[in-house]
Amino acid sequence: MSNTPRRMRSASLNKRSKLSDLLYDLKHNKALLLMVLPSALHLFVLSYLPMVGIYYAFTNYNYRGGLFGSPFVGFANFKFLFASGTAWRLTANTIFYNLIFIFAGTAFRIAAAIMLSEIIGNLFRRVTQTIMLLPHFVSMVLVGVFAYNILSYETGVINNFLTSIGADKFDFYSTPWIWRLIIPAVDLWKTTGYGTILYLAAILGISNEIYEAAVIDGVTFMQKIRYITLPSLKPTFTILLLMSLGSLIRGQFDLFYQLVGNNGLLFGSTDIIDTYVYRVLRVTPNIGMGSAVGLYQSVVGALMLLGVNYIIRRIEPDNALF
Amino acid sequence: MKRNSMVALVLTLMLITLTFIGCSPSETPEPSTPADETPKPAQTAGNEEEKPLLDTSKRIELVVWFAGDPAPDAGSVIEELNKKLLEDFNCTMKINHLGWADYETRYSLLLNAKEECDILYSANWLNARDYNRKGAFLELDELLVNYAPELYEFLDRWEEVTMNGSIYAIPNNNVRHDNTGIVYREDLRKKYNLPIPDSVENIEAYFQGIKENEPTMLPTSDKAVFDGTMSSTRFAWNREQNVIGASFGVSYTGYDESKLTEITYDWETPEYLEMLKKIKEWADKGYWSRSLLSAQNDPAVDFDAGLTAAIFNKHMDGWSGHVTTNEVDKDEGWEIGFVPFQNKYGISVLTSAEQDMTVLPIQCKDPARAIAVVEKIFLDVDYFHLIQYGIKGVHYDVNENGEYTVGPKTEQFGPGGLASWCWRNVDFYLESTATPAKVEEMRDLMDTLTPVSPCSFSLDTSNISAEVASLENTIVQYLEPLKLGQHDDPEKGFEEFMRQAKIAGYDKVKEEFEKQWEVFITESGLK
Repeated sequence: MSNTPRRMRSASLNKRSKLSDLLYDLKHNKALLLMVLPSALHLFVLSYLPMVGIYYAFTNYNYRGGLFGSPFVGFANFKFLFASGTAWRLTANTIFYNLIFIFAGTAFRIAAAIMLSEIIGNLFRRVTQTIMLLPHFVSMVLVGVFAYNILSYETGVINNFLTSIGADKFDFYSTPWIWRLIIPAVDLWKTTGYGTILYLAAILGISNEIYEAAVIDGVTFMQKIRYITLPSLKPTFTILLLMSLGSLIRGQFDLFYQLVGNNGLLFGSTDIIDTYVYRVLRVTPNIGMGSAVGLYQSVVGALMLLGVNYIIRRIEPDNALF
Repeated sequence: MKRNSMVALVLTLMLITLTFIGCSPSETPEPSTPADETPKPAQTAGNEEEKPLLDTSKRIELVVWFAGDPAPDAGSVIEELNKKLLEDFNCTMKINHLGWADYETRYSLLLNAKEECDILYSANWLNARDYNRKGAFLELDELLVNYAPELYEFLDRWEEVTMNGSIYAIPNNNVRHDNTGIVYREDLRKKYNLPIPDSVENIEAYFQGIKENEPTMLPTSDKAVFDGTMSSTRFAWNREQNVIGASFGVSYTGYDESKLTEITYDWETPEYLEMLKKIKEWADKGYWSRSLLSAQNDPAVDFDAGLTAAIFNKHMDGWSGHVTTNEVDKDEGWEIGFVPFQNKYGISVLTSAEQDMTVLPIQCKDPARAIAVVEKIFLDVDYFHLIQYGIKGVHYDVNENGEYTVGPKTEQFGPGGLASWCWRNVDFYLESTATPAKVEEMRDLMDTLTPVSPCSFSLDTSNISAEVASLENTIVQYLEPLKLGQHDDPEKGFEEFMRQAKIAGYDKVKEEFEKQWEVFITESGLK
């Protein structure tokens, strides 16, 4: 609503140059621009200024020399990441997990939001929502401890149960494949409640008139969801999807580290870029190598975002970010 | 909401800070070098006899960072200290602590972000040499001569804190026995008539006895069980760390001075594989949890809680702590035994000079005053007792024999309550009546052994950082599981590990190590 003046202008005069566009805005939309200013400044100071630090990735850092006085070493800092195919395996794992988190997570959130919105009892809905939100506030360190007490071989809850019904114990901590299920499960448990809020807000924003009209036309409960709720959530979904794709190659360090720790047996299926970097640079902290990884993640993330945005723009221009 | 890795976090913070403050100091690096450090009086110091005077005209606050956590009542001790400092040096001190929770990260942030810091704790286990190599600390040679000549005279071991010909840290004179070994339950050992766990066979017998007789206990939950047991057979083992900074499987032959220059590649010895096989057997017998690799437990806490019966790689101090916790503070009939493995070779390894050190980071605003204050704390008994024991009559008292006794508020500030381990002068220590007798006995026994100073070699990894990083990963991924017996076939597993290590650059690390080692032994006159 608020950017109507600008839209009108762009639509009518889109042949004019961008500069005159800006000048027009400066003249006629001062208040709006002023409202944007704080976040623009925030973005500039916290996201653009620090980009100077990219240069660290190409230096052999030294405290006396600082950023620009340290010797330039070219791409040497990237070597450890790409040696012996590590980068590929890590990138694949990182993307694999993030895709699961994004799609399974979104599915759960939307499902939960729809269910919550359909609950009639107000008190029951609030209680349910609060309970769903609780895991979000449990620190990952504690989650790691919980998981260990549930999964450990000798004393874990699951293995105690298996023993009591006469079944064989299951050794979670030396079975890599099971972690492809456990890690997403823990992530879902932890993030669904919080992520539901956005979708719930979007659902509550759908005009009631549409539903009423549909009910008069005789839709069933499932049809209501299928033909009204889900399509209305599409814009929210696309924007959230695009935003999360930007960090597709950034792993959730604490989730993986707290659950798996330094258990080399499981690395084949659980090692992501962030845990790898932590592990190898823990002994000899190296700013150049750390920056190199950050840069690699940012570049791949940016490419991913641009690519997906391009595809979406082709299919459905209204939902693209830019 | 972004959960980036620690590294990414460190970086981001660092980058942000750098944007604001970092750029300016880096433009003016020159004043930080010791040559220019000497304030105005130095300009007149044409003849070398005349020493520059300490300029205390401006009142400053020296910011100090220690590792560890302070005692609850540290505040009142610092207040008292500041009264004295204000009088003597026209300065005050702000003492901060890097808590145990994340000291490594915070330590590197402190230096990378050039946070305000004038005096800093440092140690070999905090990568002191690595930081110094990258220029994080001031050279102290001239500062010592000019502003702390008595301290320079008083302490020896300066050659152990010298790198590339200049002193980078102030050591202390608290040289202790550093033999390491197993801490175990002597009461249980006696009860079930088990052997003292002083060799691989005896450790096994002890573990087996515990396993059979104490169903609620596990013999150990210490991930260091491999290295710990190994050090009972090859006493050179523990020096691996001193030699190379991290366990890259290289050590030198031992404490025999005549063989000091010989290098052993541990992974290439048959004993290593034998031990891996032994560990596999132990794992199969259930001496520790099969999930131990992923456990985030603290083995020492498990031990104190009575869940396990052994912890490894402990020194005298560590053992003494467990004795106090379990024998003195609680009365459950526990006896805590200790076998320092090097003892059987008649040798006492001394603590390195680099164990606890004071350094001045390059952002230090008044190095002259900082070093003069450190000298005072070392050499003035009142200062030292205040820092080490607290306020007399409040936190401690002295009896007629000149021995340390507890005061009304000792619980709020015990000896060393400031975690000021780098400022220790044993000459001013008060004798304590509280030390358990058997700890005293062990100390007396060790006093009779041949003392050996540890080696101060440290590998400069700047040329091989990519290889070291990959190798580090290979160790965690392929070797650590073997060290806890988590592989069906240790022989095959070890073969695979060596293959991966070679891919990661083991040979290049070896080559670089040999090159630097050669230089080291030539320069230090060992050869």
